[in-house]
Amino acid sequence: MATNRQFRICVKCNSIVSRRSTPIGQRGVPELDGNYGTTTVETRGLPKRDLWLLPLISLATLLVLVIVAEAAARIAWPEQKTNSCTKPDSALGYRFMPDCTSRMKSAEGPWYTNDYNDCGYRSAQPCTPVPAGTRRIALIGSSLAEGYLVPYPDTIGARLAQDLTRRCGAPVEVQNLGGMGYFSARRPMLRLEEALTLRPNAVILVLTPFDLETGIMEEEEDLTPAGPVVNHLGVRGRLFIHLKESRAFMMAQHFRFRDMAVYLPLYLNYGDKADYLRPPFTPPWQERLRRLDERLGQLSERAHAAAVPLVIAFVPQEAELVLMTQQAPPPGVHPDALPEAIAAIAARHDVGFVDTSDVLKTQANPELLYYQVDGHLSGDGQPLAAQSIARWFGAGLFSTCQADHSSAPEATP
Amino acid sequence: MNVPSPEFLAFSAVAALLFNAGGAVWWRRMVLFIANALFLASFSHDLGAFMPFAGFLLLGYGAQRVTWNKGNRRLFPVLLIVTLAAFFWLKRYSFIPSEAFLPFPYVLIGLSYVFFRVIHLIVDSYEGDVTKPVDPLSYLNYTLNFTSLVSGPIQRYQDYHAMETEPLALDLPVAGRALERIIVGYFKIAILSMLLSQAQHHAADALKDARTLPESVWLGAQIVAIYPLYLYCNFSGYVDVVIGVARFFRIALPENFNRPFSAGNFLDFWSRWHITLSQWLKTYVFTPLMLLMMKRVTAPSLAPFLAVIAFFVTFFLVGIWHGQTSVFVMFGFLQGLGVSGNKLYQVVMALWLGKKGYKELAKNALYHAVSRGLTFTWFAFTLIFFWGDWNQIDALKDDLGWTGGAAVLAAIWVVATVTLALWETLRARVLSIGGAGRSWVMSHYVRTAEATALAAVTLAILLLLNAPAPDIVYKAF
Repeated sequence: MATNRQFRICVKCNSIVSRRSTPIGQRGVPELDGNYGTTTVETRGLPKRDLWLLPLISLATLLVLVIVAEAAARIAWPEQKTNSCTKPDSALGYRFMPDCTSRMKSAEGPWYTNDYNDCGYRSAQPCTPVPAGTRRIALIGSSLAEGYLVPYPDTIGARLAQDLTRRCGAPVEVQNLGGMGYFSARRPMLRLEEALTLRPNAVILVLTPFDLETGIMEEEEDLTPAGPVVNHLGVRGRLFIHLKESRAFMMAQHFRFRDMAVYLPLYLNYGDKADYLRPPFTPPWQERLRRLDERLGQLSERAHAAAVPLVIAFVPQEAELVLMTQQAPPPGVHPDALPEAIAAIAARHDVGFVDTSDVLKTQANPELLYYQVDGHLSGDGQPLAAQSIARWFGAGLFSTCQADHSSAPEATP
Repeated sequence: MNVPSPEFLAFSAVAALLFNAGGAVWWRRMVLFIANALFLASFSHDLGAFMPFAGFLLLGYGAQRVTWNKGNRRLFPVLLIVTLAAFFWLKRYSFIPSEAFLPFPYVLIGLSYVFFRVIHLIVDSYEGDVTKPVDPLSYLNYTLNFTSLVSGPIQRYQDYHAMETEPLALDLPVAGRALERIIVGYFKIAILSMLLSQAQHHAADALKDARTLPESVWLGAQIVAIYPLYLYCNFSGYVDVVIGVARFFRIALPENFNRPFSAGNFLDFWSRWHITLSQWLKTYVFTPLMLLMMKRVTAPSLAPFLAVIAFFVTFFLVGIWHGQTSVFVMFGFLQGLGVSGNKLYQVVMALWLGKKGYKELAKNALYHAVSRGLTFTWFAFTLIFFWGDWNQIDALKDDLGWTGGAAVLAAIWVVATVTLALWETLRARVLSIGGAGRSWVMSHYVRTAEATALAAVTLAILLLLNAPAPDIVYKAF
């Protein structure tokens, strides 16, 4: 029998008198437990009901923990992604209401206010005719151009206006016509047409790999939600949808994705979504680039006809940017492949091209410029993208703006 | 392979499955031996690095065989001294000239704990407490048992051998409790000790920039008071894990902790903290020393005072065992001072108030609470010489000054007295729910829920942080 031995010294008889032994692991006998003190091992084995009751208790505990975690996450990280300033639009799907204000928040970001001007653009300046001596830029594109989930002062549009005004020594304003989903189907052309009515000095199309992955492939004009998709999904599909909507899961992802050793392999294994990083391009990506070529041809033709320079501002995805900063990306991965292909297409159509990664990748932790789970460039990243665009304009299109404060369009650099 | 790692758990699970796959004693002994060898091999890929360790084990085995059952009375002290010398030499104690050390790196993991087992085996074999000669496989499985190799606990050979030949039962309730121990252990190591360590480092970094005395005292108190809690979570968490793992090998390792911060005095504290080490030292140092002194000083009235001396020597050795540098001499001195001072106080108080009067005083709730707070404070103070080197201790002294230092200890004493008293009251109240002997909190239903919650929280935090659990502090010893 296993025991614990202890000595006692008899002072009077000058010797060891007892070796007390305590049994170990004997049922019904008190024994020491390091965490609970002295306890008695239960004399009986488990009742049969415990074979299902104990696992059930475990499951119930996990369920309670999940509910508590979800509730705590929703309190700690509130989210408001519905924009109350949208109204249905037959051509665009939706449109922002003029002179409207709404408050939004990404779970990963701060609360912010959307203020729309008299034309429903997210700009501080009115869309009235350009005042003399002021240069105007029209920004088109999808959510990133809009400054989705980012406070106005940190958006590309606001920062670009600020940077160019400082560089030029004369007012430069940006009319932001961007909006989520505005890169699909005929919408870019519709936005360009509307932008040209503002008589801008240049039109910037903000473009991300995500726009090519999804937006450019969409032919449908209807942007309204597709209805209760969940009902058509199987159990796994429903579970996935619920998991995606879970705030606690999102918080967990947020912290996990900050570690590039975790995030990059996950992203690279995303299949088609990440295939633009591995040239030669797969047939789906070749098709996307073909469509971009076609669409850019139409857009540039229209812009050139109006004698307004068109510029593409390319903003990389988080993983793409991080890979650009690595001295030795994984075998077969070429993070510059997509911007290089887009630049070639732009050059063919006499469209300016700015790769904002030239500034973004100089940051110490470029992954922190993005919302880790949402994937959009955050309020830390958008000013840097704007800086890159402003630098490009300062070196080319607006290089003479300090001397020439006229509002006439200039040639494409 | 670190104990607080998924690799260790996976390794243990596979080994335990194989161990329990066969019922024969030879099968289980072989599986355990292979598991022990593989675990040890995970610390180096160089076979030569294991040679000194192997030599030490061989020396220990030879010594216990030669002297078994008083087989060679003259050789016994010589072999004991040679074993001690070999240990000090291999551990590179600073009192040995460095030229004498082996000129190549070698594996030292768990050598201190192997040393305790070997000395115990030599002494008990010699005294006839080990009834049969120890065979080589039992010896290796006992000394190198992977569940307790790194930092104990120190098990007696007799206990180990009894479980080797007659393995303990491993039914569902036992497995459940073992799993619970592992979960609680991982929670303590990976979450509690990590958070406490971060808090202590944060306070240490901030102390340099403290501008006012109250700010310095606040930060100093955090630095000094958090470390014992961190060390407890780290070391007792490790012990929880290995006790749980060993149970799947049908071995009940002895407990090493018994709620040490509930101790009402420093003597009591050492019967609750690193129990197997203090018991080993009491058995092989304190008791022989007491007997030796009592042979010389025969007056029974002086025996309590002899115990004061024996306690000092024993716990001084506890201190210096922890490290090879001079700062650990101070640590040992303070341990010895604490225990022997405590004993002397008890002797004097018993003489002054009478045994009954002193017992009455010790039972007083306020007196007990204040003593408990003082015990914690003294231990926290002595640990400064455990976690800090002389440079760090000097820096702490410079940052706090004598006034600040005294204020820090006073603050810890007051806060520890109040906090521990509240904790004990709360614990007693919670444990009393459901009635005496049928505590609702101790029921396996509540403990299942508790273990599930701890496992989920630990796993979630480890996944989120994506960082390994902190290593075991006592691995260094």
